Amino acid sequence: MAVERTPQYLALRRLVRHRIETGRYQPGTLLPAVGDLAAEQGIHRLTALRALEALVEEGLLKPVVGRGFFVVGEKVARELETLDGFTQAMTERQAAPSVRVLTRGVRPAGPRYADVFSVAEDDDLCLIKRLCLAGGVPFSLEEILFPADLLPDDGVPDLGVFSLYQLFSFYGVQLQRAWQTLDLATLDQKDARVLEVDATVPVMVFTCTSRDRDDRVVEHTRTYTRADRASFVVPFGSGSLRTELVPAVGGSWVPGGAPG
Amino acid sequence: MQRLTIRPSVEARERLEALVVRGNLRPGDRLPTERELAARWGISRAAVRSAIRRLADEGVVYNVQGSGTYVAAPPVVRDLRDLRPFAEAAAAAGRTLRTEVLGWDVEPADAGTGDRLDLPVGDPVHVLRRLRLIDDVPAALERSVLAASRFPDLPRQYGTHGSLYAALRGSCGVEVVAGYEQLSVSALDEAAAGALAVPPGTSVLSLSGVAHEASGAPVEHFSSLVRTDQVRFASELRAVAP
Repeated sequence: MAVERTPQYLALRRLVRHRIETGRYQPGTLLPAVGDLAAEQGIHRLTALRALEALVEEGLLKPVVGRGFFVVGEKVARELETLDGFTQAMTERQAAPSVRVLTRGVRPAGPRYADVFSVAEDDDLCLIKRLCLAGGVPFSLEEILFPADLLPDDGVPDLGVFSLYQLFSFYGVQLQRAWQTLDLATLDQKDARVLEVDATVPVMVFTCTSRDRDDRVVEHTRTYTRADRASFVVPFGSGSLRTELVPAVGGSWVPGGAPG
Repeated sequence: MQRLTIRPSVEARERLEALVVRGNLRPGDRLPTERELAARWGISRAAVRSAIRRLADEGVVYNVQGSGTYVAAPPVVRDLRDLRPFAEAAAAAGRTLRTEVLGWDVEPADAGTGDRLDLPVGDPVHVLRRLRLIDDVPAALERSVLAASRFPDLPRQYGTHGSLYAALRGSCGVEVVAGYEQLSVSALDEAAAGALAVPPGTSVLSLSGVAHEASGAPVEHFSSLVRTDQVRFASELRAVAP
């Protein structure tokens, strides 16, 4: 048992737990090889192995003979700051992302969105509805609204490939800030079927309103995310954790509310 | 591009939301009847009913048996990275936050707590359990775990300051500056549901994480269960030049 008291053993156990909690090691993925972790920490391979075995006993890791240690769980941890970047975050997390565009068209703003975008009720908005999958399983359903005159008509179909933020940056729309809220809600039968959830079970709803440099609202997105498939990690304050944010293409987001 | 038709229930929902957002309907106001709204907007009563049911599910409106449907008070918005005491966020929204201390216990740290607080397993930790109420409605159950050897007199100091971070700052010289938290959804068990005054099985947001001081040393391991009809989490994001 002497090995359990060494600082190296504790340090690695803490590090691996931290990386799982903050989403660096995703559920269902393979941990780096024991030898690599030991080398990274400059400790003996056996010490590293003991540290991982302690986390196996706690149920955080699962050893698979001949492969290594897998992170237990089915939820995909995401950093909340990464507004864009479903595809990118998932690629980096090796979760095999894909996107399926379900609806694409224009609609009048109506009273609700006339206020959001400061436009007339009969002004047109583009509506894109798309399903994001991770590893072939539905993860979230996005409803994206933006003023129809913001992008040229032929730019919009690319949303199956590019993110909205990438398209914005191609067409010179400069995003400045965004306000995001989180609620719980249930879906109607049709959307619940698409997301493959029971319509009585709440999903997480992220509502995000983005503004450009002229403070004009350029995007309003609601993302319905399966609560059984996602947990989110939020760094707060001014700590070093901010450096772990996944950068979005064409600029990156940092928390704006950090205290001085 | 294709012109989309808006489903009647979606149109009814957006019209209702607009009434609330624009302040035509204020918290505590009774909604016009389904029949009135259907006639006013030229939408079927079934679609209006479906929209109201969805808004009730989301806590925007609530039903009073035999009386009608009313607009609910909006949840208090809490910035996820805001380190100010919760009471200040509530006060900024014109609401009153009250905290009930449910208990202070000393327990031995398990491996999970020990790793998060950099403590040996078995070291004593303070476990503080609190109930937060907004305008006297239970809103959150919070659990805070801190090293008892480092903060031996914390329960008394907390009593003096009335806020955990104020006690740490004022009596211990420890300033919490940063941390991380995990957010997920969980269903309440009977005990937690009782404390939060909602039916067992109600879905709430579950937060847990670690707060640390400027040196990076962990100070508090916290976890909380939050009613989403009372508290709405939000964050502002800013673009930085690439």
